[in-house]
Amino acid sequence: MIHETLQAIAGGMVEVVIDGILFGLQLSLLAVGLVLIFGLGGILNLAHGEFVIITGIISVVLISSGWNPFIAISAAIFLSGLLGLALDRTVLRPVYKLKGEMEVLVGLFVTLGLAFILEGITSYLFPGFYFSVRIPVETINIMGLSFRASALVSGLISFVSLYLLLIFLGRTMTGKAIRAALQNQTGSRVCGIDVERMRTLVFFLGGLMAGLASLAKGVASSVEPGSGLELTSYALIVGVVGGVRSVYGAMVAGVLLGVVNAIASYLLGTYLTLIILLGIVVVVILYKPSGLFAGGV
Amino acid sequence: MSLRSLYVPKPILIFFAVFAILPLISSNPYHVRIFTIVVLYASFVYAANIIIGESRQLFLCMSALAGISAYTSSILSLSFGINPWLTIPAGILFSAAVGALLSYVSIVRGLGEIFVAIVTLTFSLIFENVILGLRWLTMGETGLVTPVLWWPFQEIAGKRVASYYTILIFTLLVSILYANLVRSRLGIALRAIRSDRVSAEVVGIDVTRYNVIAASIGSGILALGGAFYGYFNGMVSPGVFSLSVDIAIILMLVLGGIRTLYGPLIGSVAIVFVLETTRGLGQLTLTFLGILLVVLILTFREGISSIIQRAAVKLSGQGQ
Amino acid sequence: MDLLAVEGLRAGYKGLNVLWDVDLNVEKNTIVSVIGSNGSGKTTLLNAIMGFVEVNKGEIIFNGNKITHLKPQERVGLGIAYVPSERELFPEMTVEDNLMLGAYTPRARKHLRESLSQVYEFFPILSERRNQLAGTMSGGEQQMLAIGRALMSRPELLILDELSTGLAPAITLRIYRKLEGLSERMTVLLAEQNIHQAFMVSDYIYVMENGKIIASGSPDELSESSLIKSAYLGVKG
Repeated sequence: MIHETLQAIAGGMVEVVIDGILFGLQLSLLAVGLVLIFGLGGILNLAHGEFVIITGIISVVLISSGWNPFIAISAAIFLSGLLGLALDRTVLRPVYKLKGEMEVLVGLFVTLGLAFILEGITSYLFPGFYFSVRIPVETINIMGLSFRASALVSGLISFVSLYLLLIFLGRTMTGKAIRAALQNQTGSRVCGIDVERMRTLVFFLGGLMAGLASLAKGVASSVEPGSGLELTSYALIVGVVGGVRSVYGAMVAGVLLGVVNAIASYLLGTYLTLIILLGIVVVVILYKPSGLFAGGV
Repeated sequence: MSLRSLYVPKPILIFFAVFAILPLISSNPYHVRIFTIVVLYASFVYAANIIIGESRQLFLCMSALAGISAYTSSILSLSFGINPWLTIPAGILFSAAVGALLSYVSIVRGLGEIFVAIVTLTFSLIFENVILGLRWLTMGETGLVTPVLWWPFQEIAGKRVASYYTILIFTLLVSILYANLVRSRLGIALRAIRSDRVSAEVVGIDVTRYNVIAASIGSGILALGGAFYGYFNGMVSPGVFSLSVDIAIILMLVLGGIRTLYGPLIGSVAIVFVLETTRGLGQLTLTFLGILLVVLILTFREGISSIIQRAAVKLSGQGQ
Repeated sequence: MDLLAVEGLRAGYKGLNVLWDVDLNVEKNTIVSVIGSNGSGKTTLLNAIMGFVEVNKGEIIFNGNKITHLKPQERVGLGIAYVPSERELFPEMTVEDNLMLGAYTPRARKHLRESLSQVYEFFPILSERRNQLAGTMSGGEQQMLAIGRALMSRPELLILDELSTGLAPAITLRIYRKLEGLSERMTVLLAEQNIHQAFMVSDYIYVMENGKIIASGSPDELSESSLIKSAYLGVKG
């Protein structure tokens, strides 16, 4: 009897942990865009969540205009990348002229202001909009354990996106050049790397990641206008835990927090879970404020 | 520092004299409410002036610090049936302690300004989620109805006006506190740290101590103001102490003039005026705030007050 | 023909002038040194040639083209490579990645594999440590990596700033010996505080003081000069 109960609990736990990982991957994907731009671009983009929302809105608009959903969403994600690029090339131009800390602080406020602008506009123009992708299958059974298909697909999208990003940053020349530009600007120039162009590319990538996060969220649940700042804050929290400049850290932190969230919810219920999650953040802030993986990409 | 050597700049008294007669000009309850908001926010901006302006600690959790005090005071009063005036000190102490802790941890961990901003922003989020999470205590999203606070002279003037004058006097005292703080040993030390931190340390200035003190004082002001806000509003909720409040404070600080004596007053009047004028826009108010923030931070970083002061100096120089 | 010509150069940081009317020529396939004490302007001159310093007056001509106002990364693309005194490596990337980034420009990327094996042959220790993080290597190894990275761009002109700083003389000597071997295929311009080493290795020497060139000539010519003797003594004393 005990043996069966334990088996049931174990089975339940495995499902819970995997659910946690899947959700965590979503969090990681959400955070990675923010961390990428901060770590490699030097700007804390508080408008990050807005990019996620805008991708969703564009997708819905295009699809309702008759576009093929696949193409529509791809276009929206690409547009999100372009938005990031535009941010770098326009609004942030005057910010780059400033030095060091002034640049970061003013950049922070400018992106915060931008977040407010976009949040207001999107809520005003598209009230009641939501972006959601429905998976035809309800549940999928693997090895006797059942999972929501939407969660699996979402997790898969997140995983593939993150994996491709890591490959790009680690294996391609351009990816290496981006990382180099973060580690040493002078050294990069001496190699012939155009540091400013790398930064623009990073913003494009960050926007792209936000777009992908929108897709992942749209599959798992939905993306709605007005939740931009909330999304940014989740990304920020995951980023803070993982190391605000570390792409790798954001990935690990997201999964970690996702798993903790899932296990704690399963065993202890929602409120205690919240306290535990926040507790982790507080502990990280107190003992290693630069994050668990402070060492850069 | 004895009371005799207290520095009370005349313009401040004039400012407050003007504010004092406002309710006599218009006793419209809506207007009085606006006046109260202006004066209350001014006190917040003075606190921000101390924390962000003088001690360069970019706290983005000012509304959270105000909220902690408001919630603490209200909950204690409601749970134990104590007169709110007696629980307010507890709220102040709590907030000041949190502010001091945030400051201390930041310095000891060697966090740069941007990380202080991130950490305090995260703290704001934590505060909001704790309020939502402890629903059984705080009534979560819906908010907590605050116990009734007795405002001095409310029998004579009515609650609305009485609360206005109380908060007005509070802000007056805060402004005088600020004026004297800047001239005090603390203020001078902070200025030294601002201009060259390394040299200040070499000369023996204890950066940690002064920053923590500044943060505590600022937090204390936010706490008392926050408590007043809660009681005056009749209700506290996460929405009352949200990030928008922080943004508004920063807007007022930047527009009015950072590290100036009159800046908080000017900024508060200006921003509240703008917000009230654009009230009908609904969601777009957010957009408007955002535009204001971007424009201000990119162009107007000095603020109106310092521009006026520089103009005044120029004029008086030319006059001679 | 001169590979590099600097004419009447005035340059400095943030409007302040550090270099005053500097004229310098580097012939192809030679090793040219700029010597002088700390603060004489050697590094500023090299930085100006590379594009890291604002030029207020004068021209820099490379292979007949005026490069005075090109960005540093553009100059790399034309065939100039620079090894700064601080080396400026990528500490959290491997030796191999550091080297590969040296071949970032299109002109160099075509021959990346070839360059890489050549550099590994030139500095065997880099081959041994190819997967080690650059930040964990010793001073001498980092210097070799910095030079190797510069070589990866297949430069016509290799510029080195204060090679000997922070290195044991024996290691510096070894590196200089290797550079001598290179001068058949490329041109080298270096700034050196260690006069002895500069004299040993160079075909032509420029002497700088207070941002000006005060003497120039072959090592033999200069060692006759009493000016150099006093400068030499100056540095020694």
